[in-house]
Amino acid sequence: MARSGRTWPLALLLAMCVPVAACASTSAASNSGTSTAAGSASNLGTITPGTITVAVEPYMPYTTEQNGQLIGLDSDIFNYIAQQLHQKINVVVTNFAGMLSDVQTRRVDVSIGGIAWSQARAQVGLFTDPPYYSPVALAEEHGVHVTSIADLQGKSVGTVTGYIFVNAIRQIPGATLHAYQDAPSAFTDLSDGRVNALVIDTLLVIYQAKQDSGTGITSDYLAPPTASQLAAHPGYSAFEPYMTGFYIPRQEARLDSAMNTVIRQMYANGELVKLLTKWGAKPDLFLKPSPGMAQQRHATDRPASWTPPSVP
Amino acid sequence: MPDHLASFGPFRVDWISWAPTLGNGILKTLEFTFASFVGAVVAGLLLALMRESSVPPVRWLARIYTEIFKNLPLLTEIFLVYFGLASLGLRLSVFEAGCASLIVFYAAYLSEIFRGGLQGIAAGQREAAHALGLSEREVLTRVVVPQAVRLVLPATTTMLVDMLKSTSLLITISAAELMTVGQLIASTTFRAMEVYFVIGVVYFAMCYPLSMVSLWLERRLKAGTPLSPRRRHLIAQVRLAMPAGAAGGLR
Amino acid sequence: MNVGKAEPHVAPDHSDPAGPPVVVRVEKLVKRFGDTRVLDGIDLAIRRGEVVSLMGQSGGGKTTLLRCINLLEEPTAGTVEVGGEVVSQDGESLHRASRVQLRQRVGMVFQSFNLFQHLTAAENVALPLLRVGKVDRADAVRRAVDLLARVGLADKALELPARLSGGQQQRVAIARALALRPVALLFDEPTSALDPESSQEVLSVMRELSTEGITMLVSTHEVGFALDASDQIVFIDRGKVAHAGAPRDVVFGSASERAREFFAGFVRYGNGNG
Repeated sequence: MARSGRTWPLALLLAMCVPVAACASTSAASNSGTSTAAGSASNLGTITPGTITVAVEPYMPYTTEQNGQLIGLDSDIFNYIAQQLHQKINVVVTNFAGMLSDVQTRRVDVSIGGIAWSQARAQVGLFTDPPYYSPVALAEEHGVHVTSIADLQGKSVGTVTGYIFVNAIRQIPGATLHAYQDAPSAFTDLSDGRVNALVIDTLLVIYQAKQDSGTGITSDYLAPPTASQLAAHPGYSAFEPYMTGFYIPRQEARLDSAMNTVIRQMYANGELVKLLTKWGAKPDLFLKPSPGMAQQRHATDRPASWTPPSVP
Repeated sequence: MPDHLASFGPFRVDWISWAPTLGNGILKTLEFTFASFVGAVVAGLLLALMRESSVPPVRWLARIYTEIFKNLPLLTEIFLVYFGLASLGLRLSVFEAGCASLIVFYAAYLSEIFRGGLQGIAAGQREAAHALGLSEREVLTRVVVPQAVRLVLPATTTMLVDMLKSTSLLITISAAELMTVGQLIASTTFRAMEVYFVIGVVYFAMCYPLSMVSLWLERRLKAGTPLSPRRRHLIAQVRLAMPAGAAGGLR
Repeated sequence: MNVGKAEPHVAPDHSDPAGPPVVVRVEKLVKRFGDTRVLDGIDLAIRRGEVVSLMGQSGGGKTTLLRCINLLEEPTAGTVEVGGEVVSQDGESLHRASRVQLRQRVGMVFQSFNLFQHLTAAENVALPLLRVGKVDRADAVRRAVDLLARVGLADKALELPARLSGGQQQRVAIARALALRPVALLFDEPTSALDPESSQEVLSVMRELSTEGITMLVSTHEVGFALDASDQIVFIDRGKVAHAGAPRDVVFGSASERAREFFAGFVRYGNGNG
């Protein structure tokens, strides 16, 4: 998912999070409670006991809200988890910057929807184990097929302002960057033929095609950059698949481990395969980690013994 | 989330089914707007009077406040009030934080408008009021403010309309107002053009009547028509006391 | 209302210490603005019922003198007494509440009328009565309409100032200044902003008032009025009283050279009003 690293809101948030980190978790919300048994509604240390307050941004097909219900891929995964933990759900709708701030100031218990793990974010909040991994895919105008970075040379390529792809595209020789305010605007220009391809959240393309047939927009997965390409253009690392996660305030470690338990179960019992397929994602691409991911987490927020979850 | 088949010409979003959500968004927008506007007018008036105070520290305080908050972006203020203060221990609710940031921002602008209005009343009238033995407070309430209101009405209405549109920034603190609903619909249906067009029309439909009411009010004030029951009664008494057959003047 | 010439005014006798009480007394009044002495030692005594015309070059201090009496300006030095009470001495003047009281005893009419634009004529006149609180509303209204009738404008009671001519506005202003029955009325060049016809309207009202025993201190350029209606003319030149005395003495052949220069034009040609 492309929202892995919008840099500018992060900079703003980090500037504000220094006091947050300094104040640490001296908050009064001390829920004692013993270890949880999977069959009972137990005290997970959430803001309101028995309820998980979750912040989302309207961003289909990952998350949106309708009549108090959460819809979308991340939403379905989260709904399942909440059900397993016997928790009610309280939805709060905001925008991306608001979501992350809500977690970092513990206004909510969790935020979901296309949040990519990053070292910087992991230092001010907790990430669950990845419910899925995200390869990079492109939307292309009719007749264009792009499967590798080399195919983008000489083309006009669009993405959303603040996505990590911005810098990556800039490093492609001969490619022209168009940065849009949001995904729907980018798609509008794509169907108007003003850009050749979009590097954007993967499932967005599939979902958008379902909504609006007749524009002739196609999509392809992008092959990850090779080692030599990375050496020549370090910015291409943005084109590599990345880990997603649900983002949790530092004070709620108990909720984090409870959710991790269920996530692992969902890998094992085929639930994730079912959900990913429902929303148009190929399980092979989305439910298997890439090499190097374990190492990234070991360096930051996981013990050396941890392995990323996977389907068999 | 597939669309229903309902469509109307070029409109392909099923607006009927979104109507209740839109309604809630509109209500929220109006709540924030009116609560904040009342607060901003009160605060702005207070600041304007402080600027005219004879006590220098009071004047300076008002001046510093105005300079700071006229020059900070509203989005920054919203963020700082809701998130920033929370990290310092002061957790305001969404409504409190939203209104507080709007008030703090618009009070600065309104205070400048009000100051202009207060000063716009010819000094001669103030002098005459003093010469008649009216106290400072009476000069303000009986002579200056009634006329200042007429002067500041257009600019104040502009601020009100501006504020209504600014509530769209409150999406970032999960205010669930109209623009949030717009984003919800756009992200679900992917019909950004259509959605934002309709949302724009709704904002217009909320703002335009405000301007119309203000114009009407301006016209009545200009004609000197008495607005308060007390003044209407006074005028009636004058009419009775006038010599019979004397016409002319206010109806 | 009689717009014609008023009865000739019989002046109270200044030299008689048993005459009417002094209503306004000014002694060695000094007013400095920065380095300039606008008033440089003024002495003045006005008895009840007297009409005094203040004349002289613009900028000579006439307006400042008037404003020192009702404390719109604070004197730098000297004494100001109104109705027997000291309102300013040696640079110390009455504060707030007392100042408000003082101004209810001394009325002022301004060159630019200064009516309250958002109120009708009657409301303008009634305002000082209403806020005093002791007068009930019906009485205030009645008095306001009576005062307007006195200046000939009863039928305009419900007009806004913007709909009135300059002369009419000034007459309303006079009615307003009379509302609280002041012991003295100060006029600051009341006709300078008016055309000749309106001037005559207002001067007529002022002449009528002068015959009714109202104490008036009028700063004016209207030599005709000064001659016909006032008991003395005080001629001010560069912050000092150059000549104060009977009107005919000041205008025709004054001992002060400045006064002779000032009135030379009038003496030679008259002011067209006979």
